[in-house]
Amino acid sequence: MQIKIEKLNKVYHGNVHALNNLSLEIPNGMFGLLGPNGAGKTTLMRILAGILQPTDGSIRVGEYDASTEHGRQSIQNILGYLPQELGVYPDLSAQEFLDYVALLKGLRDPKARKQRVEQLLEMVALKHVANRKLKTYSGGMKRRAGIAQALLNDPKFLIVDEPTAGLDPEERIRFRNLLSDLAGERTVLLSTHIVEDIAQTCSNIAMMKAGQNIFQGTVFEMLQHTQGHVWNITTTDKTRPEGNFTIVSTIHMQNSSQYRVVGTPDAHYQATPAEPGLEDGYVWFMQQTEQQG
Amino acid sequence: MDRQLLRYELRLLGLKVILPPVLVVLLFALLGFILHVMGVNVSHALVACQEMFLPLVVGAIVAATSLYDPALELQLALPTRYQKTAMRRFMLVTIWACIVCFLTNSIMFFFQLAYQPAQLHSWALPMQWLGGQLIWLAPLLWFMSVGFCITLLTHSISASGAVLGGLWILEALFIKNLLPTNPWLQPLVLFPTTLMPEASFWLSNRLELLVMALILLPINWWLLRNTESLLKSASAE
Amino acid sequence: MYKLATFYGAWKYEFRMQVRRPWLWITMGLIELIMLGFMFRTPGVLDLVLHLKNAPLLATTAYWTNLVNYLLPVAVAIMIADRLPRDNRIHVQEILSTLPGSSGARLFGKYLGNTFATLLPIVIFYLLGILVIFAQTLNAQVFLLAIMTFATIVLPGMLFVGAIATVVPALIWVPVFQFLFVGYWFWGNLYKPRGIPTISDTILTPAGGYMSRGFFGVTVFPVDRANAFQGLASMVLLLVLSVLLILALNSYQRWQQARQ
Repeated sequence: MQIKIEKLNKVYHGNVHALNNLSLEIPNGMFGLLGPNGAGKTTLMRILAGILQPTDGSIRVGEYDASTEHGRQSIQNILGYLPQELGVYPDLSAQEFLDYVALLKGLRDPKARKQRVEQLLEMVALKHVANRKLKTYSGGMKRRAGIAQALLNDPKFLIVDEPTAGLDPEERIRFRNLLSDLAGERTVLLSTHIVEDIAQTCSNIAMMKAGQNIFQGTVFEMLQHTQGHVWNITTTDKTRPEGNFTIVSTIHMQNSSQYRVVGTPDAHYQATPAEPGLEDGYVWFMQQTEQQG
Repeated sequence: MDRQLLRYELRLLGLKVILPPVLVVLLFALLGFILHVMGVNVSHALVACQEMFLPLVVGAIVAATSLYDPALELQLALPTRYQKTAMRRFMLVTIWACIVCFLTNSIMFFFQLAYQPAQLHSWALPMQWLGGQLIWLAPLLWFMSVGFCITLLTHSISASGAVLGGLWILEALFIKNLLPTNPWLQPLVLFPTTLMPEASFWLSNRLELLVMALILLPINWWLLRNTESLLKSASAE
Repeated sequence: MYKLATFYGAWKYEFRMQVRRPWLWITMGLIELIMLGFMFRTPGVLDLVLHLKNAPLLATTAYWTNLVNYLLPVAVAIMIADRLPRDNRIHVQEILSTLPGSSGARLFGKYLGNTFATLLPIVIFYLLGILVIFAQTLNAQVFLLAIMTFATIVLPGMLFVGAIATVVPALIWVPVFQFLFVGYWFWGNLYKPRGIPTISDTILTPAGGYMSRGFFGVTVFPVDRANAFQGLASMVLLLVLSVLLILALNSYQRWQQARQ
């Protein structure tokens, strides 16, 4: 399913521009949306999920036009959505929560519904605790229940907003693998500011800042753009290097310190070039847009 | 409508919605008993229970439950509109409150514990019983609709609680004195059975309050369409 | 010293948070308008206001103070009631409980900050009334009397109401508190029903009837007789009860925390 966003704007009350002429194309498969806090990612997700209406611009999700009421309703029928802050009903068990959401998603046949709920509980490894109340669940378990509810209607378009925030490393890895498995059959839009999550799961990405799309392409293309801008600097005195660059890591050794920097260090630092990673690419693009004003 | 869905909605509303109207009735039953032992006529207090106190408590509950859903963002992204879900919950609270009020009124009627408004005295007994249901029905629906509406407009259960509470007290204490010089206030008298059971406008007042409540229903439905405002209100306050 | 800093920090934060709520001002304004509407529609009131010049200044000021304290404490209680549950809902309480400094000082700061912020629209409304009395009488003494009557009639009761509205919602659901408080205000302050027991005519009433009758000789509340000593006793009782309520809440919160 292709998603095409053109010149999308969202202005909140008080003239707050959350999205500024955003254009984006999201192909089938796993798609990562990167950006700092306040970049407009959540606003975009909410517009795509039919929760918010754009101020202007157009969105097409497959054959549906998301700027119309009918289009939004049709999109919600094929959508799975895991919001950034998933509130759950604390006194329902996971099984009941999924059953309730399934009913609201239009799964009326009790037998089919029960089967689907069980299948998903199995898939997210919650079957053994399915009858426990959600208030007793850990953050990771709630997130898994959240992804299960998003999949109830076998969505063609899945939106997951900051799904791994607050999860321990094991839970994060499990969650990432789950999302990758899901992407085979559908479009999965993963929004996060955790670069590692994108690096491990997405080949196509976009980067947002201040409501605008500052990069769209493959991870490979992003790394290519960053090539030649990542350096290692070694200093023997205690002072931190300064200049037109950002320090992304620091290792203090016995007699020296090694810095990994993104940008253009002065010649006197005798910097040696390094292979860029996705995080370096992220920093490079953010730095570029900042310099361009 | 799916019965399983209704069952879930009832569970989500929970005991905090189900218990308060019952507790109000029990509290007044206890008060009635104490007053009876003290040799005080209890009919006035019992009419006030159904006409003044039950509508206020249900109004406050509806105002609180209409807006706050722990999974609101998820609800707004579901194919079943939240508008429908909120109205379903409103209906469930209404049905529950009506059951409690109807039983309370009927018990009072059959055991002759309360009095009837003067306009119903000439009616046949079964009609008095049926017409007497308007004692609670009109203010109940009025408080529920108005409370719901103020909450949706202000995104604040405190605002709706304060306005409803203020109106309730002013009506209880002053409306009777205002009526002789301000007859246009007749349709806005919320508790005529308790305050002036002899009123000649009792029946028309009940119908006018019901009409006001019914007019507010589609307005509330329309207000619930504004998902952006609903989402904002969840994080406001 | 550290306790004082904690108290002041909490006071300032809560005051600012509450005073910035647009619906505090809109709701209070709306209720004040409804109240004025009811007042001026009551036969004789308009005439009375137009001829204030001939009325005794002290009694006029005291009556106005009574009227301000008639209905608005309900709005004050309801607007304060959601503050503590809000802390729990947005998990601020967890953060606050890990901070250094006395939890009691923080709770007192919270209570007083909220109460004074909620009182602000009432003070403004009250002053407008005082200005009307001044415009009618052109007697500047009214300002002194306004301070005296407000401090003795309104303030102790409002502090008590603020304490109840801070403490009780920690134990029960806010809408139920709203309902109970409206019922309590009606039964325990404004209404003196025949045969039904009430605390409207005891020194426990926060509406200020004892202070008003005891110190200034007039009141609109159902307190037929009271002397200055009873007025003072009512004031002290309300203030002591307010402090005790907040201390009890502090102990309850600490007990709850220890249990977790």
